[in-house]
Amino acid sequence: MSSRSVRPRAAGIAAVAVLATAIAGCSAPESSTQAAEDLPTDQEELIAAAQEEGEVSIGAGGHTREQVELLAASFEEEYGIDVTFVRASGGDIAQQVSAQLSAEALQFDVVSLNDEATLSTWSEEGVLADPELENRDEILDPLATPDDAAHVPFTWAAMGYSYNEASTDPASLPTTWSELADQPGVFAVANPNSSGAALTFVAAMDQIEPGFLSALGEAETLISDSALALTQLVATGEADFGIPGIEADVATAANAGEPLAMGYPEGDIGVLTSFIAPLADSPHPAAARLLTQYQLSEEFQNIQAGIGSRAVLTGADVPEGAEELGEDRLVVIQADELSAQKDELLAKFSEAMGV
Amino acid sequence: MESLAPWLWVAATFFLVVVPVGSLLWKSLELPESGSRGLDNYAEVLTQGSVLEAIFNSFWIGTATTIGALLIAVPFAFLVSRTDMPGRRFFRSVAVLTFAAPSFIAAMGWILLLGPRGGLLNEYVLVPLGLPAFDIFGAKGIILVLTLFLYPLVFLPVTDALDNMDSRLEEAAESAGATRWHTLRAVTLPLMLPPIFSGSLLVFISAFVIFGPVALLGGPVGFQTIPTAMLELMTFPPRIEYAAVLGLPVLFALGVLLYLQRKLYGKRAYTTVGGKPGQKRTVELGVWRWVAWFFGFVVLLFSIVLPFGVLLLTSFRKAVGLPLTWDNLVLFDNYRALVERPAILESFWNSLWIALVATVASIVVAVLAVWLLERSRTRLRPAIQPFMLAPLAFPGAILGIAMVIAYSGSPYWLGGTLTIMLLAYLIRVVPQSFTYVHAGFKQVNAETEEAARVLGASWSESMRRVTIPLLRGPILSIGVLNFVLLFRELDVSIFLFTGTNNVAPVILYNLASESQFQLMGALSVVMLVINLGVVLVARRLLGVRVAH
Repeated sequence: MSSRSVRPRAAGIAAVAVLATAIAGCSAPESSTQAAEDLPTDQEELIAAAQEEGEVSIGAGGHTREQVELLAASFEEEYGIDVTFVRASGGDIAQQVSAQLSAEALQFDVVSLNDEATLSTWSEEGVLADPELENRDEILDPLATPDDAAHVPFTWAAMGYSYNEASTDPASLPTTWSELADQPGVFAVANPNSSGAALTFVAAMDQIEPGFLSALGEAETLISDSALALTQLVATGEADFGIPGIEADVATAANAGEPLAMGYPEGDIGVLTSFIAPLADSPHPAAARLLTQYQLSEEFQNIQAGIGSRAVLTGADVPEGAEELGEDRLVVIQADELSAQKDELLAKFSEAMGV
Repeated sequence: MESLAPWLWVAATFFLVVVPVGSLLWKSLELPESGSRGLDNYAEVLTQGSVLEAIFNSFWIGTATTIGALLIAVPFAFLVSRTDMPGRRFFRSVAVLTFAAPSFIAAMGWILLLGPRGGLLNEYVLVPLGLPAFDIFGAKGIILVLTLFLYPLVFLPVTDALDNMDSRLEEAAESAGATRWHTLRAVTLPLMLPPIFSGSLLVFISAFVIFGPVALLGGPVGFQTIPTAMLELMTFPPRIEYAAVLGLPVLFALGVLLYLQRKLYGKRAYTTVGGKPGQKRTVELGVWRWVAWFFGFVVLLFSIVLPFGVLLLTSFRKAVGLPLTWDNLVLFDNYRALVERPAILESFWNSLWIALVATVASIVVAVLAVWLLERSRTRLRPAIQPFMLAPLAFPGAILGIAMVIAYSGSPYWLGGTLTIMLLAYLIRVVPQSFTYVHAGFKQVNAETEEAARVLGASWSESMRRVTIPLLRGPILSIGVLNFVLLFRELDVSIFLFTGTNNVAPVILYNLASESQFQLMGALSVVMLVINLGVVLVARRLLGVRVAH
């Protein structure tokens, strides 16, 4: 090989190496050397360790924006620890966490989802860390997760239907699920293929009123792949009813000025539970545990009632104006039950809706 | 410097294509249940009935959208470049603004306009005229929206080609007795083939992989294309090992298109740009001028005025759920609410500089790649086009996953930074930068460069003083197009956003997901105004041809 051809090739290799070094020159993010299992058991020491870490990040797929903003502001005020968050759909957050795990570079310290099946799997695989909650036994029985599960519920919402108050007379609202399915008009229905909340609703309705989906299939329906589209369809009048109406989403739309409201049929009602857990390889494990504990503290559970979020602790405040729903009316679908029935439920939905 | 060029391209391609796409492909072979690797994920996904139907849907939606885009773009390009149509400069300037908002916002705008029950056009125009209401939900709505959204991808390069084409070729044909129609068919259209094909390829692939409009307009009636069907499969529970599978049908389609391209005009010459300025003949339309103007007006009305008009109207509403009456309108409340959010200013600044840097960098990579392909004898030539176009195969969300896997961990540690966002933006626009610059390059006469080299100019001098000035039109047009596209880039951004690297489109998405449709409308209008400003400044200061 002549020196003429070697020189440019060597220079080229050097250029690639310089570029690689430049990109790789970004140093690894500073992270705590403490593993989640080695965190102090003493609360004062945990707070000190969390404050030393100084920041915590949450991938909020189970929170509404209002809920996670309130959590961040209250936590910062209480402990002086910065909270950054990403609020996106549960599916997006779960994919982001999966990609970060695959890269072995977690950006989030804490994750929240409505999708308990994914969290259960992660809990079994050791992806999540035990939040070491002292008040775990105060969680409402129907919502509680097994003691060995790392994820815990932090709020719940009833799943009724949504409607536009400006175009629907409240006096004419249906009071039972079968009346709802018989209503004239268009129904926007969430697709259980693309959201855990919608699948939970289909599972709950399979227990509450097994013929509801078939009856709904007779009506004019629009299938929605996201809460965003569901809300827009009802708000703009393209649909008369949004199914399911989820309290937290409807409250968000109402707070934004949209005339959306919830309708609750009589009898049993499905529950959408939101879960939170610290991530085991979190860059800020102490702050992650502290944030999860704070979310479940009696103090914050009462604070979140102020924005209409239901508490999961027995005896906590009920949000002002919220429908009174006794525990006997709540239908909670457990993760293993949902996983086992998933294919059957999706097939039922497809058959009923003709999609 | 000349001998370094292949290596620079290899380095750029390694980081922009090989690392992210390779990481994704490697991940796709992972079998979580057995802990081994294999092709099971491909078999599992690609044999699903819903996916096969979605692949068929993607093909015909892509084809119909491409035909629609060609029907608008080619005559429109001819009218603005070659005729005395009134307002042609204005039409050319603003065409690119169809891209000024993310595609899902455009789709939401069209639901507000043509929703079968509450759409403003249906309610206030079609129904009062006794016409049936248009139903935007379903395949025909998707094709309408995508055609109006994507046609500039053909319009821009074809306009450039027409601008660069020396009319003497057409005059020669006419002096030899050809009719005007025959000249158009035998001389003008064949010379426009490379940009028409390049633009069509981008429209077809974009329609093939676009997510937002299909999810919003097709989802409600159960109509799915590849990205909606496959993203459903990998979302719940998360199966990111399926992500690369999503790109396979698109890679196949790309391969077929590139083969067709090579068959169609691989060995023919399309040189029309030399060192001497060409002459452009203007066709005088006479009374047809105003018919042409009306055509341009209708294109502008449906592609920009109506979708952004409805967002402008939304920005003055108290809520979209309230009836459209004076009582439910506000003046500046929604715009004031935007200014009161400090994160918005920061995100605008971030979007601005990232879009600018990625735009410039993508052009550098594209020019380098095209030069190697068209002028050098490097053995890398057969690999250049496939590698430059490969990122097209992956929808934004999938590219986001690839970037996180490839760059957020060791040894790069770019997770949560603006740098990873910048790299992703760069990857996003490399294929179209390459396509446009390539189409332009095919018109440039190599002899001019060779003459410069014979006269003693170095490679970099001949590139700087001859090649790049001759490519000025396509480079500046793709520059402005890239900036507009990146300033509102959402699909990748939403995936790379970790709370600390805010960009404007993420704020827009958050407003929509919080049902703050009025603020979403206001922010969309602000983004349109910024993009309009960039287009006008580029036109005035840089002399970008008015099409762009």
